Amino acid sequence: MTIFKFALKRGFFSPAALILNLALPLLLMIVMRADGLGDQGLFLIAMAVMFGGFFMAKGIQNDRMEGVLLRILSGPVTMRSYLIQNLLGAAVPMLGLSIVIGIFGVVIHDWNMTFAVGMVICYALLAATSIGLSFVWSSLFKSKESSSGAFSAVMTLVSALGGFFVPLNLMPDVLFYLGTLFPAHWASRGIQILIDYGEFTQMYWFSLLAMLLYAAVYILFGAKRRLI
Amino acid sequence: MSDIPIPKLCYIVCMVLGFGLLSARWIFFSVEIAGFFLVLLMLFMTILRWRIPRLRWTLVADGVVCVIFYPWTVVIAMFAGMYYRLYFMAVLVVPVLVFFDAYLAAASLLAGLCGAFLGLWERERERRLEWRDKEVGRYYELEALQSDLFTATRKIEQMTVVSERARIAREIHDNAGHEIVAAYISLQTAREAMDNPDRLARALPLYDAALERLDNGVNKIREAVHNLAPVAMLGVDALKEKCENFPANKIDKGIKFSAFGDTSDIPVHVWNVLEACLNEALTNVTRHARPSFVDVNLDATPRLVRLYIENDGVPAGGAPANQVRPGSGLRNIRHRISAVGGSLSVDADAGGRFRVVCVIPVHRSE
Repeated sequence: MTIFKFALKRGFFSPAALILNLALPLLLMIVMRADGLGDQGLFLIAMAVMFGGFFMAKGIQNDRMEGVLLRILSGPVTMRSYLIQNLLGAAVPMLGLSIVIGIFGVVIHDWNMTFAVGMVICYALLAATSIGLSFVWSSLFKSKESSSGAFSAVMTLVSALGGFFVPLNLMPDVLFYLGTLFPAHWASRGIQILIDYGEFTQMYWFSLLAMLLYAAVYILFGAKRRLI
Repeated sequence: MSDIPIPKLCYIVCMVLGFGLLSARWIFFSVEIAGFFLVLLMLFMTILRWRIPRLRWTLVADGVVCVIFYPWTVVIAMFAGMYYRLYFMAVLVVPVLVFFDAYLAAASLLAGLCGAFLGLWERERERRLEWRDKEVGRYYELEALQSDLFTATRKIEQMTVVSERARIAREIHDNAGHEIVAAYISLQTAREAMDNPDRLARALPLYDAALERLDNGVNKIREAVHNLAPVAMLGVDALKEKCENFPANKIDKGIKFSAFGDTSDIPVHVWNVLEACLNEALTNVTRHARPSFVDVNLDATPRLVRLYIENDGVPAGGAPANQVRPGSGLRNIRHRISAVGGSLSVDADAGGRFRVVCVIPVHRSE
């Protein structure tokens, strides 16, 4: 579990991850009502979770680019064990963050239990898809420059189409359905359903299933690609 | 990307295109949630099969589910199934044709044919690669064998030299050595007898005995040398003998052999190769040409030895100028020469002259 511990530490001590995974979501939780953000704050938190999950698993890419991976694998460590421990190292803090958001919601905003649990599951699955996407990212890009350039473009597109900036019900039909090709859309849809109905409707479960499938597809794809 | 073979790349591109088109169709023409999940599930299964190849049989289940729930995805299932040689999946066309659309059935069939073509292409490529790997393996094996043979030849040569020296030493010690020592002792005794007038009469027989023993010793040395002389010709003499005794009645000016340089220290294995090369070249001359002369030159320098064989009378069209393709004999010789680090070149000109040049590096003993 050495790699897992190291991945945890690396995640916690990265400034980007600290801001995105702790400061920003909690700040948004606090100011959500006071600042008049209303329910839109929940989508901004989702965006922070998505970016945070991506940054948490970015360590694999750094390991690959800096040749650390080669040195790690020269020891008695299999690629599978390295990947699983790194993914766990990224997923556990994100799950913790989702639970903290749920607790904050219950304590500060008087969320009922169904709403809080629903939000925690939504955020946790969104984080899982982000970690999976980061994993795919690590296997696709070999240089930091091209990786960063493509990252900004893709993430802006995903956030816009995913309904983090503009509510899904205000989007044109084509953009709405185009957005379904990204997991962010399903996270937004799940959150919107919870806001509108306050219970787990059939569509909510579909949203979770879609995010789960996306996470599985990303992780499977990333695991097949050669990292070294 | 560059290490992906073309048929596999085509397969990946087709799959990506297929999923892209299905997604586009879902977005623009039908937005029911089941279609979306089926496409996503198929994508998941495709990547799962890519990750774990032994799950390829699940393509059949994919096909059946596609036909039942969302027939448009049959195109992808057919394409992938035929690529992985699940040819019986072609029957999926029948329910599509009967229950849905003839165009969709035709598209599925076409996709299946494309998949089968790409699959066969990929299999053929793999077979070729396997064959090439085997051939390369055999070539390396042969090369290793030749190298071993060469090393063994060198060792045998060294051992032969050592044992031959030991035999010469034993011959001299056992036969001539004893006689010479006896003659030396007799001469010493005779010399002492000459100093003493009383024993002077005994000195002469001793002197004669010593002479007789020396004579025996010299004879035995001669015999030993005679026994040591090789019966078969070696080195440059062997090449010369080969040229002189080669049946050359059809060659007007005969075979002319010349040797230049110091050939005394050339290793035995090099002579073997040179002899084989000369044999092959002379045989080829009599088989493929009507020569008026054959020149054989042997040049020995401190670093290499060069055998140059030239003849005329190559028939027009028999060997295209500057484009001679050696037969199996010359190929074998080339392999043998390569094994000792040398090279063989053959050349023909428009005037009907043919040249074989063999160059072998030599490491002379200092």
